[in-house]
Amino acid sequence: MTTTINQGQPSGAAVISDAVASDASETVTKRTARKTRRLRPSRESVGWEFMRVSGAFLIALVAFHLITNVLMGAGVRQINFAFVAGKWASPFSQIATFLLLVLTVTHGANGVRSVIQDYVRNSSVSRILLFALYALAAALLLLGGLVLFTLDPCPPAAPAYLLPDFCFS
Amino acid sequence: MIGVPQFRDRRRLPQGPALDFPAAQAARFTQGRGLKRGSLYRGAVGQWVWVAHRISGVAIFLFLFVHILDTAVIRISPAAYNQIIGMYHAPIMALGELVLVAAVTFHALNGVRIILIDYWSRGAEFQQHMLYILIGVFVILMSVFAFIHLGNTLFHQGALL
Repeated sequence: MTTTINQGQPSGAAVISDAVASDASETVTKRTARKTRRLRPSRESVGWEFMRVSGAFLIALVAFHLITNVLMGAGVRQINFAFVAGKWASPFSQIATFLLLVLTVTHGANGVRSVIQDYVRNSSVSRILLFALYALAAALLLLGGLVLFTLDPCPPAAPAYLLPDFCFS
Repeated sequence: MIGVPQFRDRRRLPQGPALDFPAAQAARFTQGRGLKRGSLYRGAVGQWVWVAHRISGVAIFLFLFVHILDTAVIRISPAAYNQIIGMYHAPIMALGELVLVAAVTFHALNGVRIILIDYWSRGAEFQQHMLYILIGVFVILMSVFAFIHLGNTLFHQGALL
C-alpha cells in the first residue's frame, strides 16, 4: 500500500486515507496475531478439546470392549473369573483395558464437572461437589489400576474349576 | 435451561412496549417475575438432543462407578467375583444392559455429531441432517445389538422359556 504512494501514481485523498487505514489495520492484525500466538490455551479450552479427542478414542475402545465381552461368544453369560483373568493375561488386553479405564473416568469426570458448574449456583456447595468428584475419580483410577495390574490369574487357594485353563498347562 | 418457563401466556407479561424479539420478552418477563436471571434458550430439536447428551453422560458415569467397583471384586477371590458378576446374568438385567448400551450408543453417535459441528467447517450447517443420520444409525446398531444380546440372554434356552 505504501508503494503506491511512493511511486507517485495518481492518488486522491481517498486513496491515501484508504492506504493509511489498511496499513494501520494490517499492523493491528499483526500485533493481535502475535498476541494470540503468545497466549496459552486456558484450562477450560484444554478441557473442551480433551472431551472431543478422548471421546473419539473412547468410541473405538468401548466398541471393542462391548464386542469382545457382550457380543462375541456366549455374551454376558461367559463373563466370570476365568474369562476376565484369561483376557488380562495378555498385555494388549491389559493396556486396552487400562486406556479404557483412564479415558472413561477422566472423560466422565470432566463431563460431570461441567454439569456441576452449570447447574450448582451456590459456590460452596459447588466446591464440595467438585472436590467429591475429583476424589471419586482419583479413587476409581487408583482402584482400577491396582486391580488390573496386580491380579493373580491363578490364586493358589481357589478351586481349580474357577481358574483359566493356562493355570494347569 | 431445564425448567425455565415458556412464554405461552402473553397476558402474564409485564406491561411495556410491544416487543417481538423473544430475548427481549424473556428479559422483561424475568425482570417482572423476579426470577433469577439465567440462560434462556428456545432452540429446536438440537436443544433437547443436547439435554439428552448430558443426561445420558451422567447416567453412564454412574454405571461406570458401579462397574469399576464390581470388577474390582475380582481381586478378592474368583468365587466372590463370579457371584457378583453373576448378577449381570439375570434375565431382567438383559433389559437394563439394553438401556445402557442404548445410552452409550446415543452418546457416542451424538459425540461424533458434536465433533463434526465443532471441527468440520460446514458442520453447523448440516447439524440437523446429522441428527437424522444419527437416528438411522442408532436404530440399525441397536437392532443388531438387541438381536444378538437378547438371543444370548432372554431368549437363550432355559433363561425365560
